[in-house]
Amino acid sequence: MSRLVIHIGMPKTGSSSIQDTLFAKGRHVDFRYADLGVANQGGKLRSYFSTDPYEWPGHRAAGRAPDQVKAFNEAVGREVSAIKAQGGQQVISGEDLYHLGEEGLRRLRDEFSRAFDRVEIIGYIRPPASFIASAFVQLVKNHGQSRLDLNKLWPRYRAKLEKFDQIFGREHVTLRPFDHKKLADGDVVQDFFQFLGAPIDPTEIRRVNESLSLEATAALFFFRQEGPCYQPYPGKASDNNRLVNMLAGFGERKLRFADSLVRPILEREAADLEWIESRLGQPLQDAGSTDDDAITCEQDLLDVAKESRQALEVFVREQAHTVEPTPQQIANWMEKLRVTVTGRASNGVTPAPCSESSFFTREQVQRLTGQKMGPAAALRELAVAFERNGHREQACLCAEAASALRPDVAGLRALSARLCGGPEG
Amino acid sequence: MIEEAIVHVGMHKTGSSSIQATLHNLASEPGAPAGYLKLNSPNHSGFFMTLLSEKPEEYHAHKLNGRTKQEAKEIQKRFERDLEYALSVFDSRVLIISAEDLSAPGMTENMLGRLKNILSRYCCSVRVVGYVRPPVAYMQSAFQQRLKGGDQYGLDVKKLWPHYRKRFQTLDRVFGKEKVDLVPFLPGSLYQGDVVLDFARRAGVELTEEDLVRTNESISLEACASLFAMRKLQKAAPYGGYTTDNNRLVEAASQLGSEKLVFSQKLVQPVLQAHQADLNWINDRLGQSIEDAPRVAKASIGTEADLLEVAVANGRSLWQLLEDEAIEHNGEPSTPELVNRLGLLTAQNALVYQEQGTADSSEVLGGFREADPVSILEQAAGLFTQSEPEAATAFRRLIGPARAQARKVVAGNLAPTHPSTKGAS
Repeated sequence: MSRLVIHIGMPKTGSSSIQDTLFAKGRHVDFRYADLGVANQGGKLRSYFSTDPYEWPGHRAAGRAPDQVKAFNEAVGREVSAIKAQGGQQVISGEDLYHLGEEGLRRLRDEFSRAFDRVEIIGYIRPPASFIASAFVQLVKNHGQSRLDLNKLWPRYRAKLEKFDQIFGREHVTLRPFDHKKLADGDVVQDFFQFLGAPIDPTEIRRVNESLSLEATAALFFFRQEGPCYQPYPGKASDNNRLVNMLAGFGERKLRFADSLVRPILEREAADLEWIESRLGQPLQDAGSTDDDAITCEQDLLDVAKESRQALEVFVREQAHTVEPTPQQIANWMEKLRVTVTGRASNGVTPAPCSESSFFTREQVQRLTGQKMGPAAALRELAVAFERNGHREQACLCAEAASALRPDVAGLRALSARLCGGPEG
Repeated sequence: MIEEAIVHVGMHKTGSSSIQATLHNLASEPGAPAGYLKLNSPNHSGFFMTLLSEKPEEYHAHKLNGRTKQEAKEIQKRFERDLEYALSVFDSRVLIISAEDLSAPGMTENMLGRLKNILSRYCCSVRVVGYVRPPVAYMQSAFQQRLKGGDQYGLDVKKLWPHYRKRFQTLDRVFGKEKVDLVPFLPGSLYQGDVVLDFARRAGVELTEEDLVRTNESISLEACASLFAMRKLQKAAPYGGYTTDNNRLVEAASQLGSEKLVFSQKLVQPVLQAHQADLNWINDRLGQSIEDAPRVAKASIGTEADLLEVAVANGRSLWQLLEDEAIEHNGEPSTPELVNRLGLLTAQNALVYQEQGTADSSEVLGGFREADPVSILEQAAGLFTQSEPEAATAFRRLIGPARAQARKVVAGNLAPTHPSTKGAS
């Protein structure tokens, strides 16, 4: 009987260690790690199966144009076909699949169900407070997070996991608590390999330590707020990984969010927590820290960054002595020298934080991504942004479009009149 | 009427800046036997290249500074007025002009003819003085100059050949060979072995030691190599103020290293052979050989890879310079600055600073004749995919609702006021 096991994370549950071990071993008992050319297969599969390939942030980070995304997905399609043709017993692993929408998930199931007799899902479930802290660090590391807003970090257990039960059938979905006391040998990698059928020799396990100290997280967070904004480019994610890996050697304290910060979120999301506990058949709740040095607000993090500035300066100097630069790095350093002595880069740009480089203000992005945003209001935000960026004609078009959608809203008529110079009507 | 105009035409890399700075700084006394024409700059090259050209916008300084055709034409008109005025009030017997670009190979008989005509209206005669540099020394120096100027992206020595005949035969034709004095730029051929004293003597200007201004424009091999890496691997774009900023960068980079740039025999020999006829022509014109004496150097440059190797080997000094300049300009580094430096130490790709509000929408939305909400949202989703991914996702999500809303409006069935459009202005 052919069988495909799909490991979906969840994020921040040791997935990288599982993937690197699988990728290095290639096989375990009767299972073969599906060949997608990368250890973490989630990004490729999310891009391929999602109804909106741009949903996967990897394309944005790489600055891929639509035709490049199309070519990317065509290449993934060929790899998926090869996996199906291979059949047998295979494993796929990618925590990005945790975020794949319902329609995308159906496409994934339909695609693989045609080739495998049995398709199974396995996921490890992290308690909410520890997930929030870990997810925050992850967002600062990889997604430019520059605000301490824990509200958006709730794992949304039901929204993310119920669809797996519905689409694959609950009997094919195994969810286990990410609790060292309950995992085989207290280790998620060992637990996963035992799920596949047999323990793994501990010497074969590849540990990926993704943690970042409090000092490093605080410094990176401050950098995300005020550091210069660079254009997207292919390889940006890899460069970011190199930066994060270097920062991993800095600092020693552990980031802990104060219970006062986490508790209101736990209380607000009690129903969701209840759902996952019921699904797991056991309690999952944890809590924030009550230690004195736990982070209670954004300013606490910035204070940590400022307190450790001198140590960071020493650290940077030490790292500079270990680097053997490439010609491209020399070019980057010369560009930095130019910016240092003139304030401007070779393209005439005055370096500024990404938030200042944005076409939309932070508040506008918050409004645009909010649940209650309708099309007319989005067009209004677009009009205001165009006006602020000096494109009055486009601002007028957007305001007129907003008003056309909602002629009953006086505010939109007024905006249109102001931007287009006509009567309010 | 002025008795004589003496036009110093370089050639490039023969101490022209020192001649210009010395003569420009001399106090101009009414009735003095010789006087330097006071224009916008000690170096008259930019002035005359703009004035005499049929396409002034193509002059490299205008291009680098992002000037439009219209702006360049306006500058040309202003310069015409300025020159007429300067010549009309000039009150010495001998007028001195210095512009090494006048001996550039691209100068046409038309351009030089125009200059002769203008000068002939105010001067009884016009004499041209040019210094001729040996070819390899010239190529090495010209390469440095182009690197400094920001318009050299490769080590193509064929393009560095001085083209003696093209430079000087046009001058001979326009002004008459007997009116063009060409002097070998060799210590034995110059008065006291010094080009400034030599030219002053020919122009009838008496100089004291205090009058001499020496501008050492050469930069070290290490500085050349670092600039080369930047010019080759970092994108630049014209903007107003580019030249001023670039000069400051070159000044900072000139603190690097102490070795001299020397091209390898292997690199230059084929070029010398290819241009033997040109070399013979200038030797005949001068009545002596202008060929280089062999030059000894620790390491000679034969390829672009040699230059990049020097740049990389000198990386630590560049980093130190970067730190020193940062302290001088910005004081103690902040935490974001330190993290940015770690990024510079680790990034393997070209880092290009992001312009504020980079989404250039005019092309995309300028094509709309009607404010069509669905089309605008579709275009906005594509337009902001890379620069504002969250906003792009929001616009994409709202395309369907916008289409539905538009149908309702057409049907006259307006929806109740949406909460997020209340109070829009």
